[in-house]
Amino acid sequence: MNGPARRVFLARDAAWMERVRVYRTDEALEVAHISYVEVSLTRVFFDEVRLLTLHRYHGGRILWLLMALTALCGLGLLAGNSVPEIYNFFLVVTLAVAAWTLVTALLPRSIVTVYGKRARARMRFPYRAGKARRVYDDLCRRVGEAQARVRAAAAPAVPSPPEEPWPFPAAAAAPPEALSSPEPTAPLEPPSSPEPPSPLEPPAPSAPANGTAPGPGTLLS
Amino acid sequence: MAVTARAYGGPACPHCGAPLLVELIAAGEQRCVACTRAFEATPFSPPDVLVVVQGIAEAGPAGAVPCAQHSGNAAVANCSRCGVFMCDLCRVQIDGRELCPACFDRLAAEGALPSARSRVRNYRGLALLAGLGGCWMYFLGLLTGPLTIYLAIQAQRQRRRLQESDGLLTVIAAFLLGVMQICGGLWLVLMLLGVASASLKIK
Repeated sequence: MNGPARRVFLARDAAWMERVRVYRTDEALEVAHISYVEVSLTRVFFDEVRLLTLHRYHGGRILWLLMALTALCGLGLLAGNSVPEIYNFFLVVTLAVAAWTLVTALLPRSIVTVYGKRARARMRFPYRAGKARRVYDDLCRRVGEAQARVRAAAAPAVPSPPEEPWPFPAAAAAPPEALSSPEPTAPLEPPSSPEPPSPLEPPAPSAPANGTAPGPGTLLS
Repeated sequence: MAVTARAYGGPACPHCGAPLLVELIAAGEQRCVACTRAFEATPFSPPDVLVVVQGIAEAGPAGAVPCAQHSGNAAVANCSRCGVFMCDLCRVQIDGRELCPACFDRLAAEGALPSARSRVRNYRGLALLAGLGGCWMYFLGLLTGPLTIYLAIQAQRQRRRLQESDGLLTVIAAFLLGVMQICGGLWLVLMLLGVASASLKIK
């Protein structure tokens, strides 16, 4: 493979008449229901997970199967009692199967279940409680991060402070030399009363005499 | 065998399957009310994804192109396949493309969108089945051997395409079984030819 695996195999699950394998991708768990002809995929997205559980249990179908196999081997042992070669063969097989059955009965199986909004993923870890714990903790972390990411993306942006009317407080607090400009600006507040025209200056024309449009800045009454 | 869809009823007790109310579950050790067996749980509250759709009246003159499906919504993108205007409700972003719902349905049905594919052919299982079946019917080894090798190669390509981390041993085993079948088939043919030539010499 060229790069790191995108789908990391986590564990299997037992089901009747089909095999189930669970993979982890960057954003979801993929549950593959495998028959010999095709693979049907179901995804449990991390940002849709509602509950994660970890539990242990003893027994199960495999224990019943192993007990039946042990009984069959024991029958073979009894049946081949007269022939030493057959007896030795069945003795070895029966001991091996009985030991496997004992281990299965004594060691609990760990199961991690992920419940999403629309689907579920279940992973069985026979004889590997430590790995089940690691997978459980890793999934809790990934789900928490994914849901926090979605919440952060959905949260409204921090509103910007309302614009202050001019003059800005910062500008007013600035030193006067920073505010000085070569051309003096007109005062903000209109004069309370119009000053009387100077007698040395000619009076401004109030309206054009020729009827043309008034120039910019002229007031029309 | 067809895989049927399973009914899923939400979070349940992992032991007995009794429905659980996630709102009442705290993180840590829990005990099912129905079966009284213990399990460890971590509840989550998945956030609802809200899509904010801009109305055509709010979009202003610059963004006043209506969606083809929702005339009151402002379009935010074009479908990369058919070019239709789409609002945020209609836009489907998948595999680096922006598609309208109709084109998404069509491409997903055709299997042209890898992320939307939910059923794939199980080349690995088929290769193993052909390998084991071919060993059982060893006299057909010259037919089943190449078929097994072909399926094993397809399985390896599928592994690469899906970027799987497992299954390499199965592919190798199927490939070796295919080679064995071809060798067995050749041996059978040579043996038959030897028998035939010997019978001709006797005559």
